[in-house]
Amino acid sequence: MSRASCEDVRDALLAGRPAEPELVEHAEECAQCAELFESEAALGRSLATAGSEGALDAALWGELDRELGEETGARAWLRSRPTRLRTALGLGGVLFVAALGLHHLRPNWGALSTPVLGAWLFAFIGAAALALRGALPVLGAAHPQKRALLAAAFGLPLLYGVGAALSFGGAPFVANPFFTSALSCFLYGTLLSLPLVALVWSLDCGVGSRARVFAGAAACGLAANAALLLHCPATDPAHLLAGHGAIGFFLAFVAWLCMR
Amino acid sequence: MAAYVAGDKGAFRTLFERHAPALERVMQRELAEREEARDLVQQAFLQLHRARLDFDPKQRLKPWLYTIALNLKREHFRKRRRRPESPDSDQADRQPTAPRGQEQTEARRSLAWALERIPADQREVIELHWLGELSFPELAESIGISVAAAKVRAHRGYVRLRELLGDGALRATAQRGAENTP
Repeated sequence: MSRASCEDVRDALLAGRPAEPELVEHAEECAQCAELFESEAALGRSLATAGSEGALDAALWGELDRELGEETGARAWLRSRPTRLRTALGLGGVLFVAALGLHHLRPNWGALSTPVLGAWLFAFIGAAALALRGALPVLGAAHPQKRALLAAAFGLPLLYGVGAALSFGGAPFVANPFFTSALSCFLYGTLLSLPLVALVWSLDCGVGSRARVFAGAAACGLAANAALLLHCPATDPAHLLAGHGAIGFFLAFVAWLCMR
Repeated sequence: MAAYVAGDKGAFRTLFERHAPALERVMQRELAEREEARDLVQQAFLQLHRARLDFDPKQRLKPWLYTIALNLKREHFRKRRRRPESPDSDQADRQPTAPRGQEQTEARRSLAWALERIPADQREVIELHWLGELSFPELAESIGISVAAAKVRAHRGYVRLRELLGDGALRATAQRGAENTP
């Protein structure tokens, strides 16, 4: 077994050194390094010419240093917190907005059984945590799971909405002039989501992936939906779709506009 | 990095000087403008600064930095909504035949021409290994694959490069490149 590695072979070629016996021995055991040494190491030497090109422009550090100097203020502080803390802060924001719904609980709330309420709460926290986890990634994490993020952003809120509609579907409708208007619910819900939008924006470290931004927007919309669900006694599917569900899509649309 | 997290501001410049040249080479290969490559390098280090409190001293820094940079590059191309261009893409359909005196450029152009013609996953591994000077374990970590898979990709890429360039032409360009390397 040769003591040399693939990296030793590369470094020797980059430095233009002749192939030492232990490198040749390594190439005999290593399929890819063998290719580099074929035909008088033609490929290896050719790759070495590409690897040796270019030098760093000294002005680049100056530009970066200036940008680092501008990293001050509340937002810079928030977005440089560890990811676990940022996710916990975001989830706290989601729960806070959802808890606002408790302030004026819907009159037909009693129609919910404890298991249904528990399942609803579990689904809400799970979906919000997933969406936030996507929106506030660990920087440098390999291969962002785009499909999982989009599922969290759109699939889970949808499931949550269907579940809520099924849970409350049998409850008697209670007339409420303010909340029966879908537009009122939409505006009120959007307003409720604004503190959370501000929080997620502050915590975002600027990776800027569309899936992540959509996930963040969905988390905000989900929180607003939860708050509305606790407030609004309406059980009409059209109202729930136009007044409640549309908030998440509206926020995602605004996020898309901002990303363009 | 640990020193920077602990408050040594000068340590970040040392990190930058150590890793930025290779990172710029990797970025530059697929971008038409040098300015774009510089901007991505700058963004990668800015993200590294922002994520400094997430850094685990037991982790290796280089794969982490390259993962950030590769994510930024993917996002850059996604925003442009078109296939990455190489600096030589205007000459993509022909092998250049530069006069003597431009031999080193010719060697690089030939290689760039061939690299454009191998599958992107194989190209990525070869570029990270040769331009970024990452070891196979480091580059495997950066792109989220096993070391064995990275080596298989490199092997297939090398075989394809030799097929595309031909051993005779490779020998000639490598020879001329070596003669012109200081």
